[in-house]
Amino acid sequence: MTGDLQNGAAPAGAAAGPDEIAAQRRQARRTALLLGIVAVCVYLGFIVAVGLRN
Amino acid sequence: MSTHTHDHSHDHSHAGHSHGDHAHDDHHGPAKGLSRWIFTTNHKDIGTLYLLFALVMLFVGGAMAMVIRLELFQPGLQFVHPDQFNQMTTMHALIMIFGMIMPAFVGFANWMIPMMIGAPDMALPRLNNWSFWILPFAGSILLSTLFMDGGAPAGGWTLYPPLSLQAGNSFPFTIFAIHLLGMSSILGSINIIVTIMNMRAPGMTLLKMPLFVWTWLITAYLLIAAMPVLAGGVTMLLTDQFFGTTFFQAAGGGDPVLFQHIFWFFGHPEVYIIILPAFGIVSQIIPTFSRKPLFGSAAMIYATASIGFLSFIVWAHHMFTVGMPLAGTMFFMLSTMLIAIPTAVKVFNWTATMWRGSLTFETPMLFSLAFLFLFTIGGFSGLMLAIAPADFQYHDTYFVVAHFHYVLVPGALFGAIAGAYFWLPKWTGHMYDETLGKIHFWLSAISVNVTFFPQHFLGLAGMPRRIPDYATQFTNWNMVSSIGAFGFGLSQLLFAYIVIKTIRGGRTATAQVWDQPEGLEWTVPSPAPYHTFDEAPVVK
Repeated sequence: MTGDLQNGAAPAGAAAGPDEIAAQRRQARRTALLLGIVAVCVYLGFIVAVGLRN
Repeated sequence: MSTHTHDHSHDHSHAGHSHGDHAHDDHHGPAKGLSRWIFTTNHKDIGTLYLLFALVMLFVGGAMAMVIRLELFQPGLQFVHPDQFNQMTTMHALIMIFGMIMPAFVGFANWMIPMMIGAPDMALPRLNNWSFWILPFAGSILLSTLFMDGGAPAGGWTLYPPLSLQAGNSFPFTIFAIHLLGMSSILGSINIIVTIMNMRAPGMTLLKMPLFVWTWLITAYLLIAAMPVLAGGVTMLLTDQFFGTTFFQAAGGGDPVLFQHIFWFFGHPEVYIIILPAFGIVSQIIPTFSRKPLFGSAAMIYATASIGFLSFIVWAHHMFTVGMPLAGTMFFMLSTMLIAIPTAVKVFNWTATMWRGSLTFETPMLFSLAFLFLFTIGGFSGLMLAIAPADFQYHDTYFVVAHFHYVLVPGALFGAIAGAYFWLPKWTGHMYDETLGKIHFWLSAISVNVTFFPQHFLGLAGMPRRIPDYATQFTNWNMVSSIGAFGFGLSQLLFAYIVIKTIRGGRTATAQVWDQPEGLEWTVPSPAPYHTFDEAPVVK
């Protein structure tokens, strides 16, 4: 799986510069927000579901 | 063997300004003094903070274990009041799970994941700082309950009502601490997921990612699905206690058994949240010291994902004795046994990796081998507990204590210790003392078995768990277990000494540290520069 990376064979390059990294971070923030919303929904969903069951 | 390490440390002095605003803060060293650690957004600093916090909590929770084993050295009551004993068992579990082993693995994730995927840092560095700094406050609140009127929570880490609702003033503080610890975990896992999904270097496809990254990706999803369930459960406990709701109070139409279902819907995935990162660490170490690629790495990934999925459909095996319809019992019994299949795939693949490998037995490998054998013992006793009619005999006995300690101590903790020895040279730039490491290993491996193996016998003979006193026929094995526990506790002081000694100095580590290790983390110098991969490496 990581055979191509063996012995430091992965060279440093300029394929992803700061602009690309900044774009990756923006996308990461959006994904993080979505995951946070999912976590809150699970939290509230369980409380509401138990309340309705009773 | 040629080494093409690229020294990123010297890049920082000149490469930054040409990149404009994005890189303006990427080219300085750490801040000076305490502010470095409080305000840091560097993944390596935050990883170090997590790991040091976990090390401190190991000794705090370990001290509680010593109190437990001291009291159980002989029958009768010697050292602590029974209520204090129950506080020790409850707090030992809460601290070791939420304060020690989970933060330890998040520390490994912080240090290693960005380096393994070729990212300059975690995707959300400020959130990362916040995720960590919640922890000391949560831990302090939890520990402060020991000094409150009525003492710390004493109803077991499972917090079952109505017992947990009978706690003293500590109850809301415990709930608040659990909320904070859970929040820290969720924020940490969100950061890990978005880092892995968005920050990989060009060419680092998902299937090229190291196993440690994969196991953490799956763990992080488990955390996001499981931790809010615990938070919901304890919130309902809180409102039952203080706001007149009756979610779990039979007198008001609620159902206390429902809490157990909710708790274990969180609790069983939690077991895998703890163990999967250890699987990942061992999957990095065994190929390195076998000098072979990991056998069946894709199968390992699928097995990990299968374990993650199955962990959500087996929770009620913790509750066979509560009573449930036969179909439910059968379902949970058989689904639990299914977990043995992907787990066996992993054990087989680790073994096959070593097969005809050029093996050497440095300390990380020794701890990984102990992990392989001893975690498997914990897995087998888990299979025994999965058999519902047998579980009726084993439930709430020391057999269960032996089972989960085999999974968590020579399993998860040995995995973490193996990882610490494996990556310590990369983190510090110094080799640890191999002789001391091996002494630490043998002391730990022997004492952990002396501690926990006799607990199988005690449990099968009928000794119940969570009691400060016992019938005299259990004396001998309890003495043996306590002696083992004291030995194990002392051995970990040696571990702390080795870690401190390595941080302070020692033989200089090379970039690769080991013989032909695989992965991007070994392409950067040791110690890893404060900033790695300003420009992403291209993975071919």
